[in-house]
Amino acid sequence: MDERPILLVEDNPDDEALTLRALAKNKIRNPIQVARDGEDALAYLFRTGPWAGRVEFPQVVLLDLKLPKVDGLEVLRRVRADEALRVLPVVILTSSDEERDLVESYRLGANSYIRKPVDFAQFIEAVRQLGLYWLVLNEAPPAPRGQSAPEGG
Amino acid sequence: MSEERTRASSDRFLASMTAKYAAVLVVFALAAFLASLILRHELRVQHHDAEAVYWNGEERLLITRAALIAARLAQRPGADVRLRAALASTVSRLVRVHAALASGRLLAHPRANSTAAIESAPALHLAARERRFVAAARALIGRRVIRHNDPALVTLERMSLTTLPAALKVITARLRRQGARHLARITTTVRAAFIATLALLLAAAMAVFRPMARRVRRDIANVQAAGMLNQTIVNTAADAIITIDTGGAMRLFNPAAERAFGLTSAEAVGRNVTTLMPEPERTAHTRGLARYLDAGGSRVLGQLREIRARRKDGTVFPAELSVSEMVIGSERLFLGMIRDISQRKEAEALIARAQARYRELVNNLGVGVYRNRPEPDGRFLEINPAMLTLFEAASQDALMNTRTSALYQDPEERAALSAEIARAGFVRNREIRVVTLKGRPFWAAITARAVRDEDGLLAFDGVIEDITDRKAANEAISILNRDLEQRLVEIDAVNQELEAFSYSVSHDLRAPLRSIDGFSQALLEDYGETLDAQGRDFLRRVRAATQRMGQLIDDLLKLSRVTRAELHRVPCDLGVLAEPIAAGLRAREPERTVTFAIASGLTVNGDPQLLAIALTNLLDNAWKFTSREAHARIELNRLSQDGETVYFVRDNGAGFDPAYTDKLFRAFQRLHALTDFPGVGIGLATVQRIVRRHGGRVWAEGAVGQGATFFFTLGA
Repeated sequence: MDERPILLVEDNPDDEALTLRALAKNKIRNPIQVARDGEDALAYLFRTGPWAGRVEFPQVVLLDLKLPKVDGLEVLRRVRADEALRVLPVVILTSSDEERDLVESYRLGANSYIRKPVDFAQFIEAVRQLGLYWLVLNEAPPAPRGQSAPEGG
Repeated sequence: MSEERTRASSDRFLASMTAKYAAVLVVFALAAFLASLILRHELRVQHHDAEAVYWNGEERLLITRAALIAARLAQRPGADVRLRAALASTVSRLVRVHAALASGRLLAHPRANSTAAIESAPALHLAARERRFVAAARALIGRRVIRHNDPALVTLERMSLTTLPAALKVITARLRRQGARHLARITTTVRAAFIATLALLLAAAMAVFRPMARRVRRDIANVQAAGMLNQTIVNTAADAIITIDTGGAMRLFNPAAERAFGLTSAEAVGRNVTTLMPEPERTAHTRGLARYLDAGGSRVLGQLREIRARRKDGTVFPAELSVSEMVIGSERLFLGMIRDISQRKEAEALIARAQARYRELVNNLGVGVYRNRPEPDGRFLEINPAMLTLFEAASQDALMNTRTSALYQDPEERAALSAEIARAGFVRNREIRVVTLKGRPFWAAITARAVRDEDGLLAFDGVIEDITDRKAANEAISILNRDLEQRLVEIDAVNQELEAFSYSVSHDLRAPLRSIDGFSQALLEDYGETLDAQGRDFLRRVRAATQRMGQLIDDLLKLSRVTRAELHRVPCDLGVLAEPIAAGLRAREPERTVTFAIASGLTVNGDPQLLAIALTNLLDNAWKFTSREAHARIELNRLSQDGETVYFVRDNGAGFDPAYTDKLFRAFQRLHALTDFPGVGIGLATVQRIVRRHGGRVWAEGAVGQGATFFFTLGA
């Protein structure tokens, strides 16, 4: 069965590798699309620049906050301001547990906020639960027009 | 209505009644006189008529007798001397009677001329015939022999039988009719008089007796009303009203008197009034009354006096007394009105005490209190003792005799101040430079207002205070404030840097740790088989150190957050905050047996979020250090120490060495080996910061193996 992709927005290659490892460890088979900064992420989501021909609509976005060029909160703001992308599930995945980040994220419409633990075992557990919820239990919103639904991709 | 007016009105009424009565009597007398005149006239007429009837009858008898004697003379011519004499006397008598009748005295009505006229015609006619009869009779007497056919005798016979009696009969009939008419008139007159008398009597009754009856009734009502008014006044008067006779015995004792003296009217009446007096008033009264009755002259009558009166129960109260004298009939009475003035006296005493207190207060005040005149050369009118100290005056007179304006460093300032008080009515805390009598200048604050004194003149009442020290202190404070503001700006900058730093730490410092840990774990998982046991142990150590550093960073961030977070004080209950923490600890290690003794009602005024963090650290600590106790006990309660409420968390765990108490609250200081009790040594530092931010203190007591108690206060 074809899965809709997961968009991972992460600038730190270590974290990217570890996240991918954690996803793999949890047997999550969705294609993973990685964006290394906010600008790249926005290009992907709005199908501009190198991503103009993209057809799949991601099932969930895992978004870091501290990013080069455009930071995570700005990405979230732009996503929520868009008529089509407003319904896209966005999970904040970050090192920070500063209250202001937490408050601002939820205020801008984040669906979840997960702080990456230092202990890798705990991280794997967090990713497992994340995958279980967003990829299995949660019914994703239907893809907007012009982007493929899971069945059609 | 006053008594005088009542009496005058009564007099007027009586006079009017007398006049009416006299008028009625006069009318009555006039009517009676008129009736008597009418009756006398009618009776005289009646008498006259009866006399006429009598003389008529007499005349007829004489005529018949003359005729009979003449007839005898004719029959017995011999015996004629005696008969002739009899005939002569009869004729002469007839002439006299007739003359009387004819004279009109009897026939004519005394007043009614008409009647006389009616009667006179037949009378004159009759007179002619009678003269013929008398002439015939006299002719017979003169004859020597009288024959039967003598013409004189025939004339006599004929006239005595027919002509004269008929004429006389007519006259008699007329007189009888006339008499009947007079009788009817008398009857009418008498009846009229009777009716008139009755009418007059009735009129008199209407004119005199009815108004009199009405008047009497009204007067009686007035007297009754006056009596009731008096009674009501006496009964409802607020003042005690008592009357006594010359012997001093009480006659009247009104309800107010009953209330004032606690004595019923029945008890009081008849007793001597001295019962109501304490000594020496009692003796003075007896003596004064005796003197007055003896010689007159009183100090009491008509005066309002303050006296002391005595109640039935013997208590004495101040009262006001006024006495007046009354003479009712032949009896002399004294009426006393007594007003209980104890409340007024108490009020006066209260006022006097209050005034004394105020005077004392003003005299003892540390600030100067004064009254002065606004004029440039005005003096103080009143000053309190503090003024002398303030202006370094040797005596009250020295200050009172000084012109007020001389106490100002700048007389212009004084003029301006006076003008302002007069215009606005007051000034408040005006700072003015003044100078003492010894010439020492100082700063004073004046609060004053314009008043009118008893004479209606403008005066200023004021309070004056030496504020030299205050001004110096204010100066120091403003310098300090400026410093403080500067420091606040600096602190703000530091805080902002700190915030940026911790944000960065939060993000950037942890990321490499995650990499180290993550890849160590990956190494263990993917290449674990190629490493020997020691290699795998090293990697585990790397991971443990990484995680510990992560923990350290987290705790440091928490500590810095506690410092930076704003403090929101609200009333909250430490017990209520502690319960879920205890429950969380139990859930974490359900196998442990720990007794939590958390007191209720530990209400404090503090930031619940920060207090929860402090309690978490303290309870965590207690929980951790009792891990080796079979019967662990953790208590949260409070106690009172030197008037301060102290909260504490007490456990019966491992305790600590008191020698290191001062290190307990420093960050990263640990008193136990990690292997004994895990931790990074930042919990108590956090507690201390939270307590200090609340303005409180935190300290600990304990000994190794004997448990520990952490005390804290929370400031205001």
